[in-house]
Amino acid sequence: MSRFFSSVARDFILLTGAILMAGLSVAKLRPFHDVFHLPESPLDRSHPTSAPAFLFLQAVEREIPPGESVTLITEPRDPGRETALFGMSVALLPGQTLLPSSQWSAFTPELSAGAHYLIVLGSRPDSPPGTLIYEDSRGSVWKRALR
Amino acid sequence: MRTGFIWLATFLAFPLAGWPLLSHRAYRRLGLTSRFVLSGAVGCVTVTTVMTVSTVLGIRWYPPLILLSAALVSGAARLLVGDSQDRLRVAEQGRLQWAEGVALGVIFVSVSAATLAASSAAVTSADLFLFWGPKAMAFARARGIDSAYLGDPVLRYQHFSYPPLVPNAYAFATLVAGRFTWMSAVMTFPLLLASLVLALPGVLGSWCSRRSAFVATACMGASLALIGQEYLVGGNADFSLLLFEVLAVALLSGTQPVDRASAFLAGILLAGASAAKVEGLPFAICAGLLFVAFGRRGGSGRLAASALVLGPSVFVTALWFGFEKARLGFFGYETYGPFLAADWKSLGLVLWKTAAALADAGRGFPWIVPVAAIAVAFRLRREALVAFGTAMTLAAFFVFTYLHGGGDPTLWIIWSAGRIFAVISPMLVISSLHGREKTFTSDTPSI
Repeated sequence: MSRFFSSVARDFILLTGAILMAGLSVAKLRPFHDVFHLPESPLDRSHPTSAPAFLFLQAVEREIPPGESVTLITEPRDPGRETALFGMSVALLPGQTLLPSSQWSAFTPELSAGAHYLIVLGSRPDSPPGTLIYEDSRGSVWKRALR
Repeated sequence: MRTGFIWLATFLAFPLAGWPLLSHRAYRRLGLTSRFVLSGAVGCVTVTTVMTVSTVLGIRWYPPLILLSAALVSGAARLLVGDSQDRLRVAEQGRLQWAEGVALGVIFVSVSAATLAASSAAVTSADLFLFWGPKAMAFARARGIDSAYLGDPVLRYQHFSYPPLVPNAYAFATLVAGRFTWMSAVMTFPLLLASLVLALPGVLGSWCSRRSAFVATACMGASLALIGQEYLVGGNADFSLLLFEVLAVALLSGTQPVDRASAFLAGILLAGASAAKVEGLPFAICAGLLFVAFGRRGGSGRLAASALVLGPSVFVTALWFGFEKARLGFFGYETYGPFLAADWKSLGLVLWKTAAALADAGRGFPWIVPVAAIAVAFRLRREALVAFGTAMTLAAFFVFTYLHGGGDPTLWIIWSAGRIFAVISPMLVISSLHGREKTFTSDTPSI
């Protein structure tokens, strides 16, 4: 094989591969309507199950005074989901002190007991854990009386 | 939305910090576009390193002061370039060939697809929320690398030992914009991809034909855009790492002597890789040593070449490890157990699962295409070993790392292999450019 032919063949392969991969990239795009419609949250189309929690935490951020201690639980309780949501709450409530209700998929009541505010994702708890200060269809925020 | 634009536009300040170095005449052959992007990359390294040094010295972060200090560092770095002449080939001029036009079209489509995917929130990285973003906000609040935050046992999942370039860069933008904006961080994926494909033709074109430079850039851009979309990299550190790694090796792989200026520039980029992600350090060591051993060093002795290419990485790594040791009582990086305690019985499983994951990522095209290009490239020149050797060594290193997870590594591999092996694809593309072509012959023996 001549040197000239090998360089042309190489460039042909690289260019053909590039066209194929660019085509796959375009094919992976969401439908036209989605692509040109601004998302409500950065998670809408990458982690859609987490998007409601993102929007809820954004909404409750202004309901809780800065510097307060906060913990987050799910209803019904799920330590795996609470572990993941703890990370998100640290990201979205940077002005508050977050205490985990679960870590590494295990409940950690010893860490969360001292939290002044309780965020509940999901339905209302059976018995009110304190004074209700915010509620919408995704969850509620409670101010607890600490002993 | 205005804050978001300001946050993202802050990255346009990085070229100001890098330009004092890139304005040196030794870099003129790379072309204005490449020099602009490279000055941004150098500026990012100097700005974030100045931020770490400031924290060590107990000086709070003020963006104008940081930018000015970084520009001064970059200007002082010109002394190491010395009076290097722009004696290498000037990039070809003239009308575009049809292949170059098609390559430009492919580049445009790939970057557009990445932009649309990111702006529609389809590629957001979970790690952005888990640690890159929260660390940046904490650092911006503290106006320094917050060791109390990093040392908090409750936040252990945020990987306190990860190097600081990305959180520092995001914190810098947060200080300028006034707050952190998630979508702007996600948009760094297409921004960094666009930066890479803008810089590559000038860098590659300084040692291979313009047609090959454009075609190789199109292939790398398309493969990285595709992997980025499949592995949801928006806002994480993967594309910062890739930008530094690919540009550094493209500079070090020249078929004509790599002068002192290029070697030093590559050294700064490798330092950026070392400070961006944990796997950037083995990459820098590997690429640097292979260049010293097999690259065309342009008259520099082995010691001088090693200092230029590896010195900046040694500095930023020592700085970070020193900070960790002094403030966090920890040295090095978090690991999955002792380095040599590999579970060799899992080797077959790891190899099989890794191959399956790579075949699944972009249907295997990001790796199959450059391997096919190498196969037809006739015999490779000796200089190909810088990129090819780095690719093979890193692949072996990643497989070795997977032997440390304990238990079944399948999920770990499925989740990460396509992302961390992404760098292998551009390394193979650069290797394929070292076929013994007639156009730019070299007097070095083939391998």
